[in-house]
Amino acid sequence: MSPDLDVPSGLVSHRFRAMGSDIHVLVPERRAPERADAVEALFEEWEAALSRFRPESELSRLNDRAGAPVRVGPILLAAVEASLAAARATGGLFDPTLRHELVRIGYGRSFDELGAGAAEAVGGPRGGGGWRRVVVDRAGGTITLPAGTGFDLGGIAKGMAVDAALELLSALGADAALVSAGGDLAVHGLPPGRRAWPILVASGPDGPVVPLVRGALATSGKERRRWKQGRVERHHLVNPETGEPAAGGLRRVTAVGGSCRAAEVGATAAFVAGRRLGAMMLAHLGLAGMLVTETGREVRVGRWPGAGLERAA
Amino acid sequence: MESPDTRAHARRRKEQRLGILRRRAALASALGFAAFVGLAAQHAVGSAKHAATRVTLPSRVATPTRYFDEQQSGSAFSDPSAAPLPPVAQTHVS
Repeated sequence: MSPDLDVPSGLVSHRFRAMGSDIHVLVPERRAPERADAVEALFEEWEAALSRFRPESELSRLNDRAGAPVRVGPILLAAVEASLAAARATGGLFDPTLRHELVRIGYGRSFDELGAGAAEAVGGPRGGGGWRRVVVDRAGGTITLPAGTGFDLGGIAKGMAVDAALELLSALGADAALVSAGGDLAVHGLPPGRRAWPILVASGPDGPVVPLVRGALATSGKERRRWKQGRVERHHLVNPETGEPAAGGLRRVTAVGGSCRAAEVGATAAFVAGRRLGAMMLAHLGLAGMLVTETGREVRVGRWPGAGLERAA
Repeated sequence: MESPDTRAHARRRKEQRLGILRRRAALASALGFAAFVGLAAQHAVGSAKHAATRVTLPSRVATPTRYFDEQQSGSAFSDPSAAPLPPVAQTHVS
């Protein structure tokens, strides 16, 4: 736990690990253990359904049976429908069907197990776009993946789990709560006696602290989930057109929106769009945010604090 | 010496040539802009010999989808110039 983080009076901090990330929850003191346990159980349920690294997960079962309709549960159905809507909204910059490309560039195991390096790539890049041919039968509760395609719902699954956890806490009567899962964070209500949740944004201890009143933040970047494949440096944000890690001149993008899933998708799409068009992408989607270029220049968009200013590192 | 008819004819020919040049200039300008937009979009998403799919930025004039928070009303910050408080949480890069 970072010693620099404050726990507002009246709230309790709870931490655990799930979905390949450190989960941090702030809940009111009253009934805190019950609420924290409920959030932990929710994350376990979502990971069990949506992890591509668990062979027994619903998602793995769907990926293994590409080409045929597969009956799925409500969590996977919701995540797939949301990911397809996100792909449509971003013109395919956010592509949930890049599993085979990620495996090809070495991200076939969870990042915790990946270690220092990955096996050499087999075959050339094919690119994405498989999401356009996914068939969802909501009434029948089935999904049909095109043969040769696989889902990776990592980022949006985590964002949706954060949103679902906040809804659960609200339903359990929490009038103020914060849920953070790695790069995804969302808040409900306000800490007792405060006007905002001060959030240190992903760039180390000297990063900006933004006073979030409502909504969600998500950061996508290439600084953490990266590895060596032979002599080649890889990261997990793949450009669906090339099938290779995006190389648009950005280090990371933080987006803020009404939900964590929207912020997560916006951050990823803007990162893939690159230095020149990423800011335009965020603005088009109606999201605020901050882009950090590889040279350290910060570009702020929309209602992000200090938007309109640019700061060179 | 040129007759009035010859001068009028020459003037009409000149106006016709100018009209053609103006239309060509307008067309070139439109094509140039379209090419610029196309190149910019292609540059942003990268290009590859073996690209399997074409990825495009959604049209800026298209009706925004309701998937996102188009009015930015779902999120808000308080006055960032107020006295800073110690952070209660930190986001990381995912």
